[in-house]
Amino acid sequence: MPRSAKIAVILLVAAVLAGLIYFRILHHRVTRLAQTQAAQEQERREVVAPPISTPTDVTANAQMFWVSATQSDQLAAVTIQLPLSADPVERAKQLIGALIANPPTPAQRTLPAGATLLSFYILPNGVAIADFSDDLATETPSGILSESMAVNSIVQTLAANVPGITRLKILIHGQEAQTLAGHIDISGFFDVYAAAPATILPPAAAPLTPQGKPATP
Amino acid sequence: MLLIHAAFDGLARGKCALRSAIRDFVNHRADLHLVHDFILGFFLGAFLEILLHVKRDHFPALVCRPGGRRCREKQNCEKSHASGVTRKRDAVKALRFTACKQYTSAQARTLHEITGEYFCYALGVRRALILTSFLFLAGACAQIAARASEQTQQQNPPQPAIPQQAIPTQQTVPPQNSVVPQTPVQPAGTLRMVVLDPAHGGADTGARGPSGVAEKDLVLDFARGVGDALRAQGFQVVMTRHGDTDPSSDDRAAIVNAQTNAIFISLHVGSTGPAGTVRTYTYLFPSAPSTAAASSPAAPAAKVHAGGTQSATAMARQAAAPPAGFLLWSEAQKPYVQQSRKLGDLIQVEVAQIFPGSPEISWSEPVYGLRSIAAPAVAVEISSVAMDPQKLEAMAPGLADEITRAVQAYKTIYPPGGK
Repeated sequence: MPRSAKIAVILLVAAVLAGLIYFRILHHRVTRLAQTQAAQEQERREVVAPPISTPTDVTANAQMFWVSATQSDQLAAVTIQLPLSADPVERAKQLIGALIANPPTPAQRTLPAGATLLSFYILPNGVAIADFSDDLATETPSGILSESMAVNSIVQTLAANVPGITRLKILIHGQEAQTLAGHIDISGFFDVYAAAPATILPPAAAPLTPQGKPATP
Repeated sequence: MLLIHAAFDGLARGKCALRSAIRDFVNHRADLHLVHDFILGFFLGAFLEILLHVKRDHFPALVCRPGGRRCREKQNCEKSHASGVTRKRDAVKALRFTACKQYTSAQARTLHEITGEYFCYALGVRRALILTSFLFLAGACAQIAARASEQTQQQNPPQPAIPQQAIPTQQTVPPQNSVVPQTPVQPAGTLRMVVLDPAHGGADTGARGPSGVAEKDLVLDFARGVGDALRAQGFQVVMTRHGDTDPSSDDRAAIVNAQTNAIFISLHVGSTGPAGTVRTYTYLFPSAPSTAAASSPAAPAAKVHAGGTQSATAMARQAAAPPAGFLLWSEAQKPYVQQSRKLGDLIQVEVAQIFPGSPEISWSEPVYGLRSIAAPAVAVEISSVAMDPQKLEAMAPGLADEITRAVQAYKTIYPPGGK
């Protein structure tokens, strides 16, 4: 083998080895970054989303909307016992917290486990503003069906349990977003009042389609 | 050769992993196709070189051809040989050009053991290496040229030979508060064109299955199948993307809004839902922010803004009322909602027949990609990427046939001047 060829081979081998080493470092870096972000998110969640408890809490039946146990493309009402506040804002926070934390099974989850409700308030005209952490946008499975069920589960749960809310606006980390995870338009308002009659259904027996939510303006 | 095939196979798998890792690392913020292609081309060349050098016994030994540049080297070598070769490198060089005969590897090895002579690759192998390099280079150039051409095509979509009237002027990304004609003047035309939209693309992979299959690749295949079936029935078909690019929602809308007598079908593969089912969606307009803000004087816009709930874009949208006869770009679908539902129902009825478990009628949801389409528009979502990719691909012919059948049926009820 000519000397020049040997040098070329050595250089190429060195380049390949360097590439492999760099790829390994890159992989480690990405993994470490993800772990750090997860830890920071966990710490932040513990700070911003402590368990909500108010003096007016009364254990009551709450109608929650998760994915149907029998039909994975539909929502179904499930009645659970929850300590609920008399204050609509606190009540809504408790409900959304339960919607995230307490699905009957992982397959029935509509909102990602990592999502956090950063803030929630209701304007005098009945418009509710729900500000979620970035995880709602990044961890919700991509797809029209999955995203519409995520939004509809919030809307229908609020409609069934919190009187006085007419519309819902969803924000992501304090900002208006065009879509939830690439498909469903969340730049507008969702009609909670229009969804209310459709949500009064026998628990778990009459699953809802996602289209039962808002009314055409 | 088996080793080379194995190396290519391994590299192809490595390519997927590397692409995924790089994209994850940059959080989908850059199109790194060219960068990673260059890196992979480098590694590929390196592996090929190593394989050829290490496994040189698989190739015939040196053939020396007198003439041209080689002769000069030969003369130099003979000169140095005559003057007494002391260095091994010179000996190799001299022997290479004096052994003007082709040997097999086995023969070369035997001769080397007997005479101590060195043998190198045949010229044919060198030429193969050079040819391979040129092929890689040509392939890369063709890929870059194709992408550039595709981007140009996206910005200037092909104009069909049908009469063009009342064409919106927006061909590139329009601002959110731009307008499109609300009731364009139309001939009493028939439905001629179908704009197919394979969703996602480029850095936006869409949903990803456990096998690594990406929604963007699946929908492109589905769209090609549907396009072929529609062309066979005499429809003109325009695709919003032909390769791995990611035109914006507004760019996709601009393509269909520039046409007359056209409909828009967006294809998706979701992450969830019963396996092997299909759902068709039409746009459902949520309440407009302006309506909500204006509905109660107790909630002035300033208060909403103070809460950090409304962006400057939304505020500008409220302030900019479209001129008479025009619609906001973001509400271009409004006049076509009913027509879209008819088209959606027709498609859903057809697909429900061959994909059990699918709903019987279309659903209405605020699907972002449909809101700026000034034509009947639907989104068809297949469930799901969690399926075996082969089973998913097996759905393509049936889906193409049923969508084509539904479009043919819709053509019979397509309103004159419908778009």
